[in-house]
Amino acid sequence: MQQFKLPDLGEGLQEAEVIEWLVKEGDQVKTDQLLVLVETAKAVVELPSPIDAKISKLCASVGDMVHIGEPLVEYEGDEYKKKSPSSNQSVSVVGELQTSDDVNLDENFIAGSSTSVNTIERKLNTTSQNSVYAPPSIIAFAKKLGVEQELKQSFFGDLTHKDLIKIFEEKYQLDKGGDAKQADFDNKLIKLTGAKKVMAQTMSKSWQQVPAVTLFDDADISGWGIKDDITLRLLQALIKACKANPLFNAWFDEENLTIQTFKDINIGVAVNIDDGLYVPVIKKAQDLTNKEVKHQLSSLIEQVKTKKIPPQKFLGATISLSNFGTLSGRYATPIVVPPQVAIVGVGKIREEAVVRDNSVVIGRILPISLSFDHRAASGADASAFLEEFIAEVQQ
Amino acid sequence: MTTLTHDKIEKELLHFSVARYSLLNNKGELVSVLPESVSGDQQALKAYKTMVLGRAFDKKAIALQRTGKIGTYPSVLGQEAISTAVGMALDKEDIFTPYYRDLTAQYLRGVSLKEMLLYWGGSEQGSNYKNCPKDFPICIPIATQFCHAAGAAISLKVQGIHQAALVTGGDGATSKGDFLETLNLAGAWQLPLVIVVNNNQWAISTPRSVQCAAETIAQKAIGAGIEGVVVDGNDYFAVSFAIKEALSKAYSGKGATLIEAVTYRLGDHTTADDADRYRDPKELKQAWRNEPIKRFRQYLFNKKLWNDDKERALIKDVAEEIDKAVAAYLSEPKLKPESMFEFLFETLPNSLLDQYAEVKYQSYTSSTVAGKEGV
Amino acid sequence: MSQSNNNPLELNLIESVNLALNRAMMTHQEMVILGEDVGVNGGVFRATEGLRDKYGIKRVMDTPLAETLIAGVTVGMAVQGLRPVAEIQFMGFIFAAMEQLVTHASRMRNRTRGRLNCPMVVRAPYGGGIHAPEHHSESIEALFAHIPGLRVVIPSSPVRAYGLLLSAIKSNDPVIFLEPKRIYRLSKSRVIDNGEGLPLDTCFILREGKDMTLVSWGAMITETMQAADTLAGKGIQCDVIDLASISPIDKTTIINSVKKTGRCCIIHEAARNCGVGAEIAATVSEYAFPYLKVPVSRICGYDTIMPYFKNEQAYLPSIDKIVETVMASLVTEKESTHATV
Repeated sequence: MQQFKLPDLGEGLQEAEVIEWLVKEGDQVKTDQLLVLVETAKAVVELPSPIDAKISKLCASVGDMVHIGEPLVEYEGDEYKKKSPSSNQSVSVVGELQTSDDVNLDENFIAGSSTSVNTIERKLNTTSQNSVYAPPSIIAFAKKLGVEQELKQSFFGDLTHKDLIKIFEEKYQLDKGGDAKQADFDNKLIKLTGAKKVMAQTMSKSWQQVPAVTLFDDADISGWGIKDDITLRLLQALIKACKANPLFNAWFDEENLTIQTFKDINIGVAVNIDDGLYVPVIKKAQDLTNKEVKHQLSSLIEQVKTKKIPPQKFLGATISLSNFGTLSGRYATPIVVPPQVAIVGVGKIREEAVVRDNSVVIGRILPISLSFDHRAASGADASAFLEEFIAEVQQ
Repeated sequence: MTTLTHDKIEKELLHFSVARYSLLNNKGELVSVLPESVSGDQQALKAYKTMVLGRAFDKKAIALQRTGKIGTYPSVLGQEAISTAVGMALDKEDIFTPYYRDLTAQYLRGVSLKEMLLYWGGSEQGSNYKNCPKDFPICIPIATQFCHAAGAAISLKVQGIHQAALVTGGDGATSKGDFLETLNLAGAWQLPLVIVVNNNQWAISTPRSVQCAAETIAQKAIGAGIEGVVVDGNDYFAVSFAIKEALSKAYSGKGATLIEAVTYRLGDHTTADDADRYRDPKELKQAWRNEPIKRFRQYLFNKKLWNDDKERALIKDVAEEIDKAVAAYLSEPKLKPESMFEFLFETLPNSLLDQYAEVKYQSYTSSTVAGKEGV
Repeated sequence: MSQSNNNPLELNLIESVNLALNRAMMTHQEMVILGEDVGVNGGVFRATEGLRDKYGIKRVMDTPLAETLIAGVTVGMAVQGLRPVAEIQFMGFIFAAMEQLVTHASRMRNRTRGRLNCPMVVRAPYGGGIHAPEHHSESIEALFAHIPGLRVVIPSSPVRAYGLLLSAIKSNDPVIFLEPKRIYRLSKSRVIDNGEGLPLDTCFILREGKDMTLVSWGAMITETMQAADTLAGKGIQCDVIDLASISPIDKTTIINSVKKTGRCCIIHEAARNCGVGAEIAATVSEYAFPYLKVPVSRICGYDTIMPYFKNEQAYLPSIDKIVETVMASLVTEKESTHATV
């Protein structure tokens, strides 16, 4: 049964009083034909019929108050009425339509996929146990994003472009991330998200994959000026050391056992802010003037802090620097993040008695820890690198 | 009805007619009393200023194209009166369906100069009109806009809204099926529709004489059973009057009108065209004598509504307005490439998410990551 | 506004279309119907029977004979607040309408960055097998499937025709709804007029089996299901998938099925070259390559002009051909695993 309900008359009016019926039960009305006069608090309104139909019932009497949405009129049944059984004739202006007396009655079908992929046990036509299938376009995309490892780990390479993007976003801290701030000392279950999650995953993988060795030493930075920028000097030293020891400005490929050295020195600089550890990259540091290095560094740090950093700023580091010693800590075993082969960590500067020119003086000591991938370099290599680094830092 | 005998057969000739008139001649003199609907001084001044702005912007747009700042652009030089009359006559609640040579009409409707530059500069953002959200966008496929306007008119009629739809097109467009089918429907269904044909004599290199054998384009209205009017398209008052009459008629449910505004395309078809290849320079020179702005300025001068100082001030204001718009356009950030997916359907289907992912992060993958390609 | 009717009706496909149109006219006050002979005559296939009487001349419009115009005013109406459902009398006449559909209907949303859009449906009977004169048997769904911004939907049964048409009308995107006229009156199903639409962008699994994935749509579903029955008798169980949404395609359901069966055959009556089957075959090959035991096969109309109806049956894919091709796939596989390299 189709009904015509009191429509919203606007202006916040909620109800109307039936003043006069212009039709009666049994009338055949046309669209737009006026049915009834109703009075609201503001005016008398004429209501037209929205359809052509026969009135079967008037739902309110003159004087009744009707609320918006309440039925005013019922029309004769909207049940589907079939016309004369023309289905026996193949009605068409051209051609003939085949008919049959077949009645399928209940159609049975499922919308969409009925089986879940994970429960499928299939023997694949793969050539080796270790290779995984994914369409070439997916593999190329994964390479571009730098998430090939994730592709290899997925079930039968089932990841598609949209899945890879999600992984990429997570890996380079592009999703909004959660809040891991600990306000109270209490029993708390903290779920790692965002940068913290990425850090946990990266460190875990690096630790497992890289046989790292750390060399410790000190640099005497008594010769530094008061206004010297620590990070800038460290970066300068790193660049010089890399130029002299290109093996440390390189990537190690464990599958093919190759070392790729690079002309460009891209330094990943560890930046720690409230919601986690970020390592933006100063690209082509060897070509930059001091001013440019300074500027890039401060702009990267600013971008990290304001979360406005584009993801490509995290890509392509050939060596990393971590200045962890702002509060305390001398030496550390910083973790080498593959495919890089080295990372330099510096701790807290301290005053200590040192021997210079056969006398004991107070010196300013900068503790340095160089971790390196022992598959790519030897202790001797590392020693040479460290020597160069210290020499430059002590200038 | 006259009878003729020809080879002893008596024939009755049926006569149909279209009206033709003009109000302001090319010397700036009124040839008739101005009807009330177009006689206001304020209206005249606004129309004049808009035409001047239109011509200046047109010139600027061509310069921008020549310096690579926008793409191909169709000049409106010499046709400012028609477009301005359309824009001035339309009611805010009417629906406008432009083609691509409706500069001042769209401007008066609320399309900003920046939006126009964005459109011709190759950005979809230029069709996302902030101020006239119901207007159709610029239409490139010739004559297809006529059907849309008919649809809009039907929509008004079905919803019982007493407004009109107005559509514009060129003389070339009147040869296409879409135009003829629309005319026919406008008559058969008595649609609240006003069709304004900008007959600027040229469809790229095809002159009007080759386009159609009928003496006027307006008389195609006869074939559809609706009213046809021919006006001098360089005469702002005549065009304006004809449109206002037609709109009135449409509002009161009395049906559609076809208005042919006769003018001349003083510029090239677009910046990619060179009209010197196919036009007689003498004809062009003659046409300049009839152009709409000069005669209107003369009329305003004669009526002491305008003077040289005001002209100078207007030129300065117009230049400022245009420069501001150009600056805003040039500094507008480019749409992100992934936006090509964002307005394809109401919601992006699952099957397209992969392609979307690929494009969205193209910017991230442009710098190499994996070792093979170096750093 | 109106209450749904839960008593099942026994209806054929064209009656289901009529039922859906009626239900949609009640649900959407802004919906209008237009086309040639759709009003007084109720449509040459009676798709719109009774609707003019019920909803009046303003909402069910008989248009002049002008397909470009029909498509064009449909665009105009859709942009300006109506929800038009236009009928093109036969798919063979849709070519004049294509410009409006391709250059405007599919693009209005993108062109205006979402400011304007076209909530519209263009319905047309399509496909061969009804002994009709030239041009009344076209299957050119691939032409529309290739156009970004257009949805193409083809039902294959009364219940799916009802549900898919309701969803097509409700959708705020332009939809080309092609009705396989060969099965307009072929069989009846129980249809409930409950106003519930079926999902777009989704395939329907009509039959499950682990040996072969058969993908089809429209009238060919009938032959495909019969072929599946015949094959079951020979011990071969088939997944039968009704594509239904020709564009955009539900790739997931098809790929998941192929991962299970390892074999895929696509059946459509449209011509082979660049038909929709080619898109599905490429997708299956790209995403399910290692699962395939044999290459994907297609059973289609030939790459010829559809013959006049005396030779129609020679053109249309038959049940026998489907059965033969499936059997051959199995043989091919056995041979390939036994081949010596």
